[in-house]
Formats: sequence, structure tokens, C-alpha cells
Amino acid sequence: MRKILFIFFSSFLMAGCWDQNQLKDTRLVNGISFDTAEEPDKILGTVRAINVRSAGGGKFEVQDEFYFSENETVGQLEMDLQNKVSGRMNAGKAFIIIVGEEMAKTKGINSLLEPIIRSTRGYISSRIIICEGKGNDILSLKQNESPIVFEVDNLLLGGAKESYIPTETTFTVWNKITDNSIDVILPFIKKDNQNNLRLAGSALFKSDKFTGKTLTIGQTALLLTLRGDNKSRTKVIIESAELSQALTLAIENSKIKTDVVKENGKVTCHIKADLQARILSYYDGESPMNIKHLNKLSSKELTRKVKELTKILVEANSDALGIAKELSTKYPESWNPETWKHEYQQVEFKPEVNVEILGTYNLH
Amino acid sequence: MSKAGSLTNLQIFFLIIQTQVGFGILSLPNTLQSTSKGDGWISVIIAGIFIQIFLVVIWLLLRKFPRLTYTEIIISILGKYLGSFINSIVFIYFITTASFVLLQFTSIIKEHLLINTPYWVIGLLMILTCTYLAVSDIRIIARFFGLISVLFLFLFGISFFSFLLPMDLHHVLPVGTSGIREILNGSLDSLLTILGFEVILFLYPLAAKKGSTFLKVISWANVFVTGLTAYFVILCIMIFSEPALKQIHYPVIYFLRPLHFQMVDRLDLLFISIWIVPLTASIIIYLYLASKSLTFIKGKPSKLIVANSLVVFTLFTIAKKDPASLKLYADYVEYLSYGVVFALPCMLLLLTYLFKKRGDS
Repeated sequence: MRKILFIFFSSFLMAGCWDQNQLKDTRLVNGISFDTAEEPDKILGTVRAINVRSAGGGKFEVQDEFYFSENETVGQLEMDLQNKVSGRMNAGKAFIIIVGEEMAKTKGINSLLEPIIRSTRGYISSRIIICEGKGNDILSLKQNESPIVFEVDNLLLGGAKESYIPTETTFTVWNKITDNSIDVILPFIKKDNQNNLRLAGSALFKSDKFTGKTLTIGQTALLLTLRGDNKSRTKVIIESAELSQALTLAIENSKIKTDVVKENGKVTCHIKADLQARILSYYDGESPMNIKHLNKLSSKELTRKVKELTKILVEANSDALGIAKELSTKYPESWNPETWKHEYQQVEFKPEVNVEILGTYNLH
Repeated sequence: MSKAGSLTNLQIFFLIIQTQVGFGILSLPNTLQSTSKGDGWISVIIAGIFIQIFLVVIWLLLRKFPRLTYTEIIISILGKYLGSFINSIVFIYFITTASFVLLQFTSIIKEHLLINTPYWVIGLLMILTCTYLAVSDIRIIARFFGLISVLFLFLFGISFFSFLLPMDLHHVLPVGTSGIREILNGSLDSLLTILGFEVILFLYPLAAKKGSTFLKVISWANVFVTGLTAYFVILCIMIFSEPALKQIHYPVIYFLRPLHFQMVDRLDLLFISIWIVPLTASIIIYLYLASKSLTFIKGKPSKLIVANSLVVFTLFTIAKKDPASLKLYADYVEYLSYGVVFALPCMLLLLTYLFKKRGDS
């Protein structure tokens, strides 16, 4: 018995030897970007990594590093980069994946995500974003200063909290892309001349490829509301000729009813949205309107906006509202993914938005 | 009141659920994608109902021999020579199942937790732990199983976090699209997952309360395991899209990976670490039962168990670890289980009716 115990405990000591990773040897990658390279068929991969070194006395020195490489697949890129990085590269904490516009349009993002989803070490709740121009340009900002990745991460966090951008992670994106019954929209960021980053809305996808069409922040917020994905009080702006100044509303409750009807091979999508909102800002010096009139006005205006939105979606051929999903569960016998590709262009959207203003806060 | 030296109802309940819950459930939603797809949960429930029918059959058999274990019943019905032959098949079944569970267990650990550690180290650690417990008395094993059943609460607790992920009811709807044929095929797959109830074949003589109370206990255990399996299956179906589910090997582990919190990340690794325990329980009980089924060898049971562990470990080490071979082994274990667990008790029950044999008289 004693022998068994002895062997048992001594073998515990053995297991530690194979799978240990020490923090001082690893370079923690916190951001990755993929772009098209100069040469066709090659991917330009860029990483920002953190180098944690012990400075003695229990203190740590943190250094931000920047590496890039060009190769054909993500797997090859990883090998290349591993040989450039001093120490072991660990992508287990890569918060942000930036995909350049060109890359997302031509190659699609599925092949880029596959190695991350497959590996057991990959971080699949990372955020994935599309950027104007090259992702490399964004990751190379503020080298040796502050880690740009955390800045991007906070930018996204703020946007997602206010429901201006979709909260997609690598996993949910991959899950939706494989599903083929709903198309994803991803946050779209831009860099201005002063090298400042800003959220510019969202990029519309068809399957795993970027369609090249983007939505503005306002349109994205509206789309998220229609999908029921809005988290907090989404803000909408209402402009009308009748108003001297735009009206800002915060949507408090939303009740969305999407009804997809297929009649004689023609698909009609009725979207009925009942929104309850509060006024955030409204100024009309001469003749302020009463709430009933404002309700009517904003209902009309929002219906027009939704129509505009669905038009863009159809033009981009992106089924971000998940019509295919509704259709395939409602009419499983006549569902055909092949013909759906053409049918989507003929889908008629009939939106109807009703706004009810609940309150006006401190002012009348 | 329970007699000294017998098992209480609760202990029997825990013994059964710990044996039934194993590695199978981890990959079940993926397996079901090739048959019943979105209706996978119906398959699981049908499999549960099928097993319930079977439990009654086994219970009818055991009731006639309240003092004998399964292997002793076999000998008393079939005679010494034929009985011993059948018993050695039962023994082979338990040994191969134990090796198979060990093999699956190590491949899960190697794929998720300890990537660089060799197979034999993980296997050795496991088999040593199991042997250590399996050499002790069934009552000690039962008490240990009762203790570790607390971990199910943790597993449930962790799985509740997955409600934070976007779930889609559309994957389940419309109910019944796969057709009855596919759903039944799926329940055949689920059957292998909730295998392990055969432990009751050896528990009846030890039970403090026999008769209909015993049936009640084993039925509740079955309801619990079927419910647990159906719960995880429906959770995975709702989280993953169909093509995604087809690609992921162990959806029940993977569904926790996308979650992340300020303090904790990678809940899946935590989940596997806890799941190891029910897996160990399965190996322990199979080792124990294997030694029980060798009726024709007289010797100290503890030595027998150590010898069995050696056999299990050897089988595990020489087994090929590539996915194709694993699939092949799974098929072998499946066919063997049909014979030992399903066909044999039915046959025995038939024989007892034919010859009007009773263990008591």
C-alpha cells in the first residue's frame, strides 16, 4: 500500500515537466492583423506582443513589441513569426483581430479564423474588426509607447455598450458564418489624418466575405435594434423638415415582430417595431410640438430609415436580419439554400415603426 | 432502516449515475449531427425510455435471485462450464470498456489540457488512482461516489454561464424535421453514451432495500442521467449552428470556451478538470466489476483488481490512438455491450421462466 502511495505521489511530480510554460519565456500576443500582401496570394500578418520581464524585487517590466511577416497561410505565418519573436509566442490572449478591407473582400475571413478556432490555446472570445485600409497601419501606431490594442479594445467596449456596434466575438462570427442562414456585421474602424482611431459603423458581410458596403453608426444601431441585439438604450436621431433641429431619442423598450411570408414564390418580410423612447434633446424655439405629433413624426421618420437600411442590405446582398433563418424554419419543405441566393434580391421589406414617447426627462 | 454492510438507496443512486456519466456525453451532440440533428434531444429521451424498459427487465431477473450477483446468477442458470464461459465474456466486456474509457479520457486530456505530456503518463496516473480505490470495499467506493456527486452541482453551475451566449431556438425548430427513422438512429448512438447502468446487476444483493424500492431508485437514476444528457445536448444544439456542431469534436467542452469574464477565462478547462472525476468513477467501477465477474478464479480480490488494472493499462498502452482506431474500438465496445448488457439479461430471464428457477428456494 505504501508503495502504491509512493508511486502515486511521485508521478505527480513527473507530469509538470512536459506542459509548463513560464511567463518570462513567453511573448503574449495581444493583437493580430491580417492584410493582403504585395505579392498575390500572400497574407501580411502583424502582431503586437507583450514581453514581461522580471525586474527584480517582485516588479515586472512590460515591453510592447511589434512583428510582421508575409506568407500564404495563417499556419505558415505563425511559424514565421515564431522565428522572429524572441521567446515563445503565445496567442492565447490575443484580444483583437483586425482584418484589412482588401483581405476581407478577396479572401474572406473564414480561413483566417479556422486555426484559432481549432487550436486549444486560441482565444476565441477575441473581438474581430474590419478596418479601412490596412490593419498593419493600425497595429503599427504608437510603437514603443502604449499598447494600441488596449486602446482599440476600449473603443469597442464603449461602442458596444451603447449599442453602436455589434458585439461579435471570433466564436460567434465563425458560428454564424458556418450557419449560412444569417450574415454577420462586424465593427468597422477608420484612422484619420492625425492617426486617431474611430468607430465608423459596421461592415456588411455576405457569408465570410466583406461586401464592401458599410453602415453608419446610426444605421448599425437601428439594425441591432431590429435584430433585438441592442443592449442598452440605443440613441436615434430624427431629422425632419418640420423640425428646426434634430430630435434625439433613447429607445427604452423595443418589441420587434418579424414576419416572413412566402406567397407564390415571393417573399415578403413584415417588420413591425414598437419602440418606447424618451426624449434626450429637442429644441424648437418658436412652436414646440406636442408629444402625439412627435410620436407620429418620429414613427414616420424611422420607418423611412428602416426602409433605407433594408435597401442597403439587399443591395449588399447581405442577410443581416436573418430572413433565411426565419424562412427555413417556417417553410422547411420548400427551403433551398441554392435558389435563396437569387431570391434574396427579390425580398420585399415592409417595415412599420411605431414610436411612443414615454417621457421627456426634466424639461417639457 | 439499513442493515450494516449494505448500501443505502442514495448510495445506489450515486453509484449508478457516476458510472453512467462518462466521456460519451461530451461528444454526443456532435455524434447526433449525423443522424437526428436538431432533434437530438428527442433521441436522447427515447434512449432513456428504452433503458427504462431494460431496467425493468433486469430488475425482474434480479428479483428472482435476491442474494446472488449477476455472475452467480449466470452460473446458477447455465451451469458451471457454460456459465464460466459466459462470465469470461462478461469479464472481457468490463476490461475492454475500462480500457476504452481510459483511452478516451487520456485523449481528451491530451487534446485540451496537457498537450506535451505523453499518453502513458496520463494513463498511469489515472489507473493508479483508480486501482487505489477499486481495491477497497464497494461501500467505500459508494461513499466516495456520493461525495464526488457534489461536483455535479459545480458542473451545472458552470453550464449556466453558457446562457450568456447568444442562443437560437431556430436550431431546434421545427421539431421533428429529421424524421422518425433518423431520430431512432440517433437514440442508438445515445444509448452508448448512457451505458453504465449494468452496475445494478451486481448491486442488488448488496442493497438494503430490495423489491420495488430498488426499481424506484434505479429509475430515478435513469431519469437523472437522461435529463442531464438531454440538457447538454439541447444546450449545444441551441448555441452552435448545425455545420459548426458537425465540426466540433467535443461540443460539451467547447460551449464554455467563448465565455470570458473579468476574473476567469477559459471555463472549459475548469469544466474538463471537474469532468475527470465522473470519468475516474466509471473506470473504478468497471475495474471492480471485472474482478467480480471472474468467479472461477479463487484468490484475494485486491490482487485480482491489481492484475486487472495491469491488463487495462497494457491494453491502453498498446492501443492505437488515432481517431480512426478510436472509432473502431468504440464499435467493438458497442457490439460487446449489446451482447452482455442487453441480450444476456433478456435471455436469462427467458430461461428462468422456462425452467422456473429461483435463487431463494
